[in-house]
Amino acid sequence: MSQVNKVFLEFIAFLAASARNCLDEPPLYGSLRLADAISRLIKLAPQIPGYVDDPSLRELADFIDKGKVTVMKSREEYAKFLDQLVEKTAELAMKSFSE
Amino acid sequence: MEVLEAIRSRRSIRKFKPDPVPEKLLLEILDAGRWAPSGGNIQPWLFIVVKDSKTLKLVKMFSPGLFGDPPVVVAICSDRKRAREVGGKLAEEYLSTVDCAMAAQNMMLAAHALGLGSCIIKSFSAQAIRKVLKLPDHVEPELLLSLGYPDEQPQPPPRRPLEDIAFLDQYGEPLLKGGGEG
Repeated sequence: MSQVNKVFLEFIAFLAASARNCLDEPPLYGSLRLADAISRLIKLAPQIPGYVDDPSLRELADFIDKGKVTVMKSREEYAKFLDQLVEKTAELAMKSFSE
Repeated sequence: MEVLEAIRSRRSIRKFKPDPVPEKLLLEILDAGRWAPSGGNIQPWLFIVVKDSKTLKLVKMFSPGLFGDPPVVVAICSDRKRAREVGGKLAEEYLSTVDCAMAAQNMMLAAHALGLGSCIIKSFSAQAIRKVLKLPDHVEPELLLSLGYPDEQPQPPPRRPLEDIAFLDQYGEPLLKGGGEG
């Protein structure tokens, strides 16, 4: 199996396990898995041939890893983290697409 | 480390250093799990230590709740056949899970006392873990325990105040008169 296929399979496994577990887990964990999926995708990306390293995406993954645990503290704090995540992603998107 | 200090200072660790866990410490942690109480002294637990990098990767792939890259994961499983034969339906369907949780707590406190970090995980695909670890039908994966040297010092998460959860003699009767610790 090629390296790219392995990377895809690693991500697919996470999504499949999450999809099943979300049926029985706290409702907020669906959101958590989506946010975590972004971080995992960013970390897997360098293994894909042709991917260009992007420090701002690595920073975004770090931001997610630090902030995602707020889901276990309070919904409000977690929502604030997600708001910031969307804002940061929007800033990156605007910067990237205006180049 | 004193027991009460260990209980209060243990944190769930989700970021680990790559350093391997010494065999001696790992055995001490497993032994602490072995000394946990169990219903009817059935001791239904089985500990599968995962250190091989390929197996670790497979376990992690199917465990959305496993954060960081721990050098060791212990799959805490229950032997449901043993539980049923010795303790009947109650042990098979309920106590074996509770017993494994008590073993897990012992192991987490032991790990903390030995300078290691840990995190207990229930968010994994039991079906996939069963396949990856080649578990027979009567062995149920109950919990995963990630182990390694901590690479973070998390702040203590909030705790419900004692007056909200502890009562005297009857439900709703305050145990702590005039407030108590917040």
